[in-house]
Amino acid sequence: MVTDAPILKVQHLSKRFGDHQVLQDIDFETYPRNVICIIGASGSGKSTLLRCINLLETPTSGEILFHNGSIFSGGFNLSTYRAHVGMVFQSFNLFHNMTVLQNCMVGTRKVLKKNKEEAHDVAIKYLTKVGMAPYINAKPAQLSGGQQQRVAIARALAMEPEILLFDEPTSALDPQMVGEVLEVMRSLAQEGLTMIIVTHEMAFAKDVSSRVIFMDQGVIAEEGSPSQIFENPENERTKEFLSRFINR
Amino acid sequence: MASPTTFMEWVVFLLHKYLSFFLQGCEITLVLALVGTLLGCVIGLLVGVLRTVPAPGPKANPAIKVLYRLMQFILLAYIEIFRGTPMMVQAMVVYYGSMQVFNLNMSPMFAGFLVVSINTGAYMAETVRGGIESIDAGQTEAAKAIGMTHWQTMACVIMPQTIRNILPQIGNNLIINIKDTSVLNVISVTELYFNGKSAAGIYYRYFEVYFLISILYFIMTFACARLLRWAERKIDGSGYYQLVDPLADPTGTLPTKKKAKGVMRLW
Repeated sequence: MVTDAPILKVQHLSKRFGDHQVLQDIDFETYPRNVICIIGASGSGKSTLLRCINLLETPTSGEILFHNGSIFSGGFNLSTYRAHVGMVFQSFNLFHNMTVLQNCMVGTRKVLKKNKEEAHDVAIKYLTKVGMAPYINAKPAQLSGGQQQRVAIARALAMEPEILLFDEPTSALDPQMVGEVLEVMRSLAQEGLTMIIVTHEMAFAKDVSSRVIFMDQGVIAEEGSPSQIFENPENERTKEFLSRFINR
Repeated sequence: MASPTTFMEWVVFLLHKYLSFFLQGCEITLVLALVGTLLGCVIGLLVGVLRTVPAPGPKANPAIKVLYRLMQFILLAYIEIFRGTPMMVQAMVVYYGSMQVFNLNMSPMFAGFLVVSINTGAYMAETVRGGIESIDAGQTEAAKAIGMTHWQTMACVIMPQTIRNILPQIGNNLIINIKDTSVLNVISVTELYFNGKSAAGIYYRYFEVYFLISILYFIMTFACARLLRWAERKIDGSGYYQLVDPLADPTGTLPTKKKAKGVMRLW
């Protein structure tokens, strides 16, 4: 792992909305096959950080390097970058006007310019992986939340991204459906997919992550291996946050 | 045939005498309304989409910023002017104005198409803008997140949903146009109202003639309303979906339409 070059480097990243400083001086690196879980209270800037990484939000200052190239430099192709950095949303955001299959084909067809047969095969491959292949003809509105989220994961995987970002993927699901989505994510982690996951599922984070980042009030308060963060947290805020989770 | 005396006798008499004349009027009315609504929708989609183009950022080229402002001003002016004046007045201004100012002798029909299209376009532009803005921002974000450009997002994700959502309003416009093309009688377009007026003037039977005319208008609007409802259901597609067995059918070929109909079938 150490011999690999980082895929993604975030340096001194800051974001403010008006007077509100949401992110301050964020620094971290993602190496291939890393699973990074970002935890922290609501409003601590976790989602904003994720959204800055694929430029759904424009950072106020700082630098993001993708394979050591700045994503803010003039010649950088934003569309290609986003195709390499997938995103799974809290509210699934499947395209309502398309079937499950079309949802998983539109990106490969329009952005990666694959032909129909290829795009179809890729879509079926990843829909099979998330266990949604039988539902290719369904519209998103006809599926449960957990099923929709699994399709959304397949849609992101169909782009064959180098990193997949998850923005609280299970927060809009009921407990039973949380399980089926986490199961899929767990198998992706085992297969070595590089992932950055914002989550409130502490047991899951402890289990799958190679590194855990605890965010508090827009800064990285503590960072380390899962055993470090969950068993021996040093920062007072981390202890307080985790104790609330354990006592809940 | 003895001269009619009662209301019903007059109705039968006029129907017998003028039905084909009225039907010719219906045809003109329908053609004007359909073409006008269709062209109006095209104009409205174009203007509505341009109105929702995101403003250039603070670092953008100043020329582009000026161009953007100018475009938005022109589009807004178009909408406000054509929504804010009566179609009847617009018809007069366009028809007689083109003759007097540009020495253009357009036919009343052509002027009619022009006025109905432009007028509908102004209303549709706002409908389209509302439709686009009502689509959940998550749809745009998801499209961006897989690398789609603004125009790809619009064409593949936002517009198909917008058009489905504004279909009832398109229907409203069509029905309004069927009725409101009657104002084009002021520039002698021989639509249904105009023909009715001509027929009524011959025997001075206004009530009987307009009673018939109102029935004809209602038949046209009601038929259109039903057709549009049918189109909406068609777009929504089946309430069911068919499960596909990926092992039995590794290609995942889509089942035929006929099979997908009816009850939900497993495998």
